[in-house]
Amino acid sequence: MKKYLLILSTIFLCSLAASGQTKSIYGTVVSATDNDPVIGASVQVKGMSGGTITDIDGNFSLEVNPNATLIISYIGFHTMEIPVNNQTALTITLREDIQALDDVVVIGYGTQKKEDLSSSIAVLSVKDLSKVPGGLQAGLQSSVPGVQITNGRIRIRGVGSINNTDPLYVVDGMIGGAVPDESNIGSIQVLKDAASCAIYGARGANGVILITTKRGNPGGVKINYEGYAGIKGLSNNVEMLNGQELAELINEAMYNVNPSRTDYLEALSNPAAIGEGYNMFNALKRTGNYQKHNLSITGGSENANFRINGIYSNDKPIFIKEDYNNYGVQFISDYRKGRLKFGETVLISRNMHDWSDKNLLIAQKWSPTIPLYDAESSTGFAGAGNGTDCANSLAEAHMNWNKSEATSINGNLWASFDIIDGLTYKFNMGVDMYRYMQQGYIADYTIPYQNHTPDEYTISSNKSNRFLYENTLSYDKIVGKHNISALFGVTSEETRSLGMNAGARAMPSPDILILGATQDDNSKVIGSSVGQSAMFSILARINYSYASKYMLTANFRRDGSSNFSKKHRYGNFPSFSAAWRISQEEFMKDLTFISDLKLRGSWGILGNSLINPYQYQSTVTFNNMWYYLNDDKVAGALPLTPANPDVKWESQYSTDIGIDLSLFDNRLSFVIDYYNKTTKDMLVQVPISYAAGYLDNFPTLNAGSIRNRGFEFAVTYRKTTGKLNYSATANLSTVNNKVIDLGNSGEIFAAEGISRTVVGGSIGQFWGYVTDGLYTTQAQLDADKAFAPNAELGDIRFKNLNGDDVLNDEDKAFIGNPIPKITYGLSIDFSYEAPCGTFDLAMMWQGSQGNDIYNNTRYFGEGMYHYYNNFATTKDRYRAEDLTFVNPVSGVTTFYPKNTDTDMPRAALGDPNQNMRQSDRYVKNGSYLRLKALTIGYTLPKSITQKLHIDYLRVFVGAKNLLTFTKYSGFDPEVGDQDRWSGKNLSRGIDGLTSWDPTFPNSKEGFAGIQLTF
Amino acid sequence: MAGYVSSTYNTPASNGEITAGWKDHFNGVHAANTAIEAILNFEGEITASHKDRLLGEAYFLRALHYMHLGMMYGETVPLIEKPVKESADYFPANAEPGKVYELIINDFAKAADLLPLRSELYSNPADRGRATKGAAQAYLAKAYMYRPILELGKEAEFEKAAAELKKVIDSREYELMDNFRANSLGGLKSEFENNKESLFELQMVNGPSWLGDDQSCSWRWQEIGVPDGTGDSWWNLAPNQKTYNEFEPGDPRKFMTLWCPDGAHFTQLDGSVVDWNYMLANLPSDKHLFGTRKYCPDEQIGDIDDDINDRLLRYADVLLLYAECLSETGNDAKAITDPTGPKYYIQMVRDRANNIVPTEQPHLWYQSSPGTLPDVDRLLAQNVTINDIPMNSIKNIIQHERYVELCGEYQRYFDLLRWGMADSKWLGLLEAKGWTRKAMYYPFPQEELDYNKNLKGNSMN
Repeated sequence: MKKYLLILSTIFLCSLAASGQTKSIYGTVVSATDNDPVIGASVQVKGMSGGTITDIDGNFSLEVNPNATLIISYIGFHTMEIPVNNQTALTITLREDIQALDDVVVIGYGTQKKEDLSSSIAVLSVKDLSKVPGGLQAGLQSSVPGVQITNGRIRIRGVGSINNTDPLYVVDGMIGGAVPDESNIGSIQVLKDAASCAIYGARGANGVILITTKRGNPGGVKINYEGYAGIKGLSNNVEMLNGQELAELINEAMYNVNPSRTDYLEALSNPAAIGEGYNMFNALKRTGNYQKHNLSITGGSENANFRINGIYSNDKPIFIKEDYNNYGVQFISDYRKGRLKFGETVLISRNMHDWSDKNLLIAQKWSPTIPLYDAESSTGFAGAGNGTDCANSLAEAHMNWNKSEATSINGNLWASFDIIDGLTYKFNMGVDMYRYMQQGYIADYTIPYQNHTPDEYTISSNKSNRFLYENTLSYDKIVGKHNISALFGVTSEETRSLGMNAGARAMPSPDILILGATQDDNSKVIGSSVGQSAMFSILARINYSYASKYMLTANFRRDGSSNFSKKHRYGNFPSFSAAWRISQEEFMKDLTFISDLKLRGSWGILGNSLINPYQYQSTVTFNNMWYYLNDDKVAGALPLTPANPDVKWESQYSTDIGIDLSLFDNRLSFVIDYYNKTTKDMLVQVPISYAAGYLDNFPTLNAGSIRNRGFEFAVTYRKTTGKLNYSATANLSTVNNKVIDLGNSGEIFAAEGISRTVVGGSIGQFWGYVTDGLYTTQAQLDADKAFAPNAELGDIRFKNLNGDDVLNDEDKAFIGNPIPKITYGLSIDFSYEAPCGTFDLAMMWQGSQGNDIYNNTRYFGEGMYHYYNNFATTKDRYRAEDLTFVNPVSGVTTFYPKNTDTDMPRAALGDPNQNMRQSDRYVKNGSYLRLKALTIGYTLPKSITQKLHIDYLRVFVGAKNLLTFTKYSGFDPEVGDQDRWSGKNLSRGIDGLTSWDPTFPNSKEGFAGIQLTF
Repeated sequence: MAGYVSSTYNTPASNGEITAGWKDHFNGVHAANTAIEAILNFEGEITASHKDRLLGEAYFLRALHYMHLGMMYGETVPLIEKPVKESADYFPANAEPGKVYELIINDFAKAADLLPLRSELYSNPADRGRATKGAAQAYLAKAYMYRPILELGKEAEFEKAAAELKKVIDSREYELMDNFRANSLGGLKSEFENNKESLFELQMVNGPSWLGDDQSCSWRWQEIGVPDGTGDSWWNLAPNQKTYNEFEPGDPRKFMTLWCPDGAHFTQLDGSVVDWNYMLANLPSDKHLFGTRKYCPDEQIGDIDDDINDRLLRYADVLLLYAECLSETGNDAKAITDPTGPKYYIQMVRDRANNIVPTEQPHLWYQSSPGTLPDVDRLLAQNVTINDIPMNSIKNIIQHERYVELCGEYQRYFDLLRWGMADSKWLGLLEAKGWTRKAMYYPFPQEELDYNKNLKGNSMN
């Protein structure tokens, strides 16, 4: 190379001698981010035409006037001007332009220049992803306005339906593609309005998340490793009473109901002797840990490139007997031959999950006066007692196990051909093959309250194959200032699934788990399932822009689905959007501080097809339809779901108005959106009379309507001052959710009656009695004697809302709303380039304001009605007077001091006043602000990496959920819901609705990791 | 059925158990309607006798569900006579007065006509447990006698009932078991289930419930007061002192019905043998109660479920109902040996109660010596008073005999109710416990009324 340069120089020297004005220089252009050479960067001389581009090693050479200034530019980087100043060898470091990186945005079935967008699309910087484990969710949650995440569920712009509202994922054009590992994500776009989503028609109503994977780069082979490991624990532990404290509470609770009684439990008669006791919940807890490793090999040439990713991750959650292991290999390549291009993205993954079922919240009820283990017992575990009947959660955790293994192949292959200039045909074939197998075993064991005899083994397996075929034609043409592009496509999709399950009891031994070897042939159970669905669609789009000043887009998709009867099989989903880049107008030219100002608006209709298939047909149930005659089973069948032949698509009418504004050379930018989307024909199971005989199976009718509207704001500030870079992005969004129609039912109860959805209200509001503190005076008791006949001082004062003499359903009211008024996020990034390396710091803050949580864990936790354990908060229980209690069983004296300044009711065995009933007692403000993620990184300087023959090395440490500011006292304010498996939306914000499925996935975590490229 | 709430006669419409009972009964009506429609329209090959049997069973079950609905919720429940398929039928209104009773009578009558005799049907063991002609006839009679509950303001039809009951007795298909306790024992392939005294029972099997393959009675032991192995029990269905007092001295049925002083022993899971004193000592309440031994095995098994069939109608009930019909139609004076008079049938039941029960626990006296209940004539002559009711009339004796013979078999409340419609003194017994006429039925479930605006509740709503 040097020799070559020398020859070149000689030639240039000759010409220099001839002109006497120019000289030859050469240089290298590298990226500031990773010191990689920048290939194909444009190098021009200011004020002159012509120039050159950098070669594959980032090198260039040029003949210039020694006083000239070079302009170096490359897409995605800040353009730089470098005076030559008589130098002959230059190293030019280009800084990435975050704004410019977003220049091209991936949209459905294509790409578009950001400045030409007329719809609402948020782009999540991929740099956010690698900041923290689980960065995709953390990034979406804290950095994209209008996106809410609870318990892993993503909702874009509110809840548009009581039915499934999970967004659609599209990965490299594969609808329902597998989300790649965060290390391998190239870009993320969140499509929020009708204009951007309508190209996905019936699947667009819940928003679309478009993801592209990182591709291979031309150049030498590079190896990239990213990995981290961390530990985690409960984000907030709920303190329980210890043995002594519980014994004292129970004795008092018994005394309070009947002071003259003598039947105190002997085992609890000397509380001090019990001492600390035993804690079942802590026995189930552990410090969890996790790790992830991603190794990528990339490379390629001008016409072919590849990237191969290998992924391994492991997660041991914060409760015992659970373990995840994930393995993946991803193949990505792109080829070009003349006018033909083709490529593929394929992810093969294997996910193993081992776990045991355990009632975590039952563990809280375990009496701390009872040991967890019992050497005498055949299992080694103790049974409940001292008046309690809880299952031993620890025994449960150890006496059963489940294992699952999922293998999937997900990806797509595509080929495109440029027929003539601007006209391209593309074929895309997607494959989604999923194989799942699960085993479950429950041992043969008997301890009090847990009898499982004989043992039981079940095995189930499911496979599904989904194939997607898409044919699209796209055409781009620029005529003067007119820029036109058009798209037309025909797509089809088919899914078939097959599942089977089998089980038997009385296995020969826990080690011989072969169903055929069962000792009880009658216990064999088998079942199977088949599924089939298909979709056929036509799609079209036209974009027109004039001088990048006026933009118009029209989208159309027609979807046909096997979910519906022939009468209602097809749905049409059009959308229109327009934008005006005011900043391009002549009259704005003087306002130089405005870099960009755009006004945009869109309207469209979207569909929600995430509904149960075949609801237009009545289904006959064979399951559980049997009776015993002579103790032998006789099977039957019964139609158990009334049909609705008229069932059709849910459609959503969506309007969006937005402003994009960038100031001061794009350093400060604003995005403001107002949206209004109304779901019509929402599928609602309309309750009919139980006398019709269908139990709780109701017909599904297109009877509902829900509106969501709100504002979204995002503001970003970036600054580069020499060696210090920093940026801050803040966002805020509001949702106003209103149920407009629910068919003739008018209301839907869910979550055991805690959630009530009515016309005029928002989805899933809390419903129950209203309280007014505690009874603290005899006068209050006397006044309420009629409807609170069992109340005593220290009981809860329920409000008699309808004024009659009984406290019943008529006295219930709306007592809380799980939907936040505002959600917001803030990300802050700093980096400082020191001679010894680059230091970076990133923070993601995230919060919600104005939402309530119904903390159902306090139902038992602060019940004080039984012999179960209670939360430590019950130590502050009400006591009208000092009580010196002499236990008649043991003679032991306990002193209980007067305690009237509290909102914790008195302890009373049996809860005569029903203090525990469903009320606003359990509703707490769920607002929070949380430091979702904090990472500190250090990147080795080039001087060292060169010596080590590597390109890039960064080490980082960080924490998740390190700080949380909330008044909520439960495990975690980010309460998920029990509907997450069904995707429905009726039990949001209820903490601990069932004992086996606690909703606190967020843990406090600390981690460290490495990123290495060589 | 509805747990402890029922005894307060103040069950709220939101109670989950009355809602579940409502749903399940109408689900049964739906199944029967579906079957009736399908069988009537069936065009494939089927023998006439097979078709008759299937149709008879469907009519029987529809009538039985409606009888139970009428008893629990009153006759204004919706009347559904065909499977609901059209949206126009999704919200049925209240039944017109008398219509539910009419359907019950018609359906039982059809079933009695179509169904084969028990001896014929049960000759195939696989059919043991199905409804029989005898069951349909006896239920038809019972419905006639329950008319004051099933059709408000109307009197019982004792003559029609007597005719049906006589058919059952004359068929010689049924007889009393020698051992009273045989009527509350059971289990897998138990000889005691579907025995010769049984006309119809709920078939229970305690299968591997984790695999969804079960029809068993859950928590019955805890409910009736037997310790569960940790010294705890619920006592939700515990008989009181009055029930204990109702048993005459020398009646072995007391010890086969109750866990009581000097009564049977219970073997806990750990092998320890306990008695009533132990149970009461471990009762977390200061109430003086007894347990229910009827339907309870003497040995605890490691399961919350048991699979003893619930006897819904047995021959002793038939005999006492027949005695009542004969009494109501003016035959009280007839001799104890005269099968056309009531005493004859009451005496059959009392005679059986006096039998030695050799299979009983050895420490119980009637294991080796007979009961000492006097015969009906002597009881009348003794002029004793039991729980404030003098045993000086056949009617009062039938009342007493039904109390002790059928204790814990869901009869007493409805007996008092149907008698009370004719003579309000019987209602006094209920009123003493807080009952009011308004509380005669459970309220319609609140959810039903919320969903179905065409339906009006009953007096309890």
